[in-house]
Amino acid sequence: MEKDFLVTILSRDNTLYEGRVKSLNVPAERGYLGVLANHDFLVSNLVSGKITIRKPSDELLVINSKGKGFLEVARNKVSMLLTSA
Amino acid sequence: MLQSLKAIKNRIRSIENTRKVTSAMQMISATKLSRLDSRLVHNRPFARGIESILSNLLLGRQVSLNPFLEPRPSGERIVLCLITADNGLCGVYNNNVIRQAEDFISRYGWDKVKLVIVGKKGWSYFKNYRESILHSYLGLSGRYSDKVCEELLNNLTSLFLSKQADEVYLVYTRFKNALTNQVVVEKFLNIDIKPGEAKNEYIVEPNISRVMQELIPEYLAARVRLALLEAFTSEHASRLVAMRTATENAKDLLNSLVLLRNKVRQASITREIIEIVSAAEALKG
Repeated sequence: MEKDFLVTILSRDNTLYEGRVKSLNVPAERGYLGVLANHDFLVSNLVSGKITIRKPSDELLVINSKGKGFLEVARNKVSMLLTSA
Repeated sequence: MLQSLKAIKNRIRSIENTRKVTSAMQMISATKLSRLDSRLVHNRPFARGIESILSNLLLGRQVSLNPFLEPRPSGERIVLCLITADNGLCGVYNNNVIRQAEDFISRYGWDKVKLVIVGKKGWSYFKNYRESILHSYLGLSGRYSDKVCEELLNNLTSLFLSKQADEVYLVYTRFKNALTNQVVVEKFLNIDIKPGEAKNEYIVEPNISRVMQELIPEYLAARVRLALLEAFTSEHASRLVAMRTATENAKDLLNSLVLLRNKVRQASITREIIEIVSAAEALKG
């Protein structure tokens, strides 16, 4: 079982993050949503809030999302699209 | 040497001025191009990402989830949105888009196709069919703005939702690199994308209709934004290439004219010397 997974966070005009992470915490409509490796297939829309990324080195990275967004989890590959960040 | 020295000098001066103008335009296009190009590079994966989420979600689901997905009769009421430039001096850029649009219209006939036009060049070409032009956006000069993008999106979607149009197509130039770009005709509405290949059932948070409600407007906005960016980037690239060619041609022309000027000048000096010498000879004799 893999312990980390690939995350790509894109906004309209920028790539905000691209790399492997240990865990992910995102603001979904009904509260924060945690994603670990080997998560099931998931699509969710996101609201504004703090996106927290734990890198493989246990370093934390926080991205403030100010608008809507979408999250897709598929086979240890996560892509996040944010309308404004 | 039939041409007078003065006429040649005048030509040299005017060509020099033209060369200055074209090389300035070349530089302006280059900066605009690089600015738009970097936006385009980021917008492409964003639009592709949204499309892939949408197509994965659509797999094996009812399409009645959203009015934009609803199938409509085809070939009856069509809106064609063409994106051209405001100014010329960009090679065949505008002509290519207009030619594709004309092909499209001749396939269906003027009674079925209505137009939405971005850019003066497209507008002035089709202005004889003014009653067919529903909306036009003039004076953008290849500058992208979110406001225009939103307005265009609202107009196109409301035409579709109010059933004035059953199909909406986009004709624009897709940017490949500075030397090549390609005119594409794409169906914009109703949304007709192939369901994704993922055979896995997705968990959808909070629920599918809520996600669709958010995702579809964002998808449509991303498509319009991408089309405008692609078109404007291609416009600047075409202008850059056209102006570079013009500048080079002007340089060649200048070189040959300078040679000619020198020859004419030399000839006139030689002639004057001959006159003086022969006059002196005559006085002596």
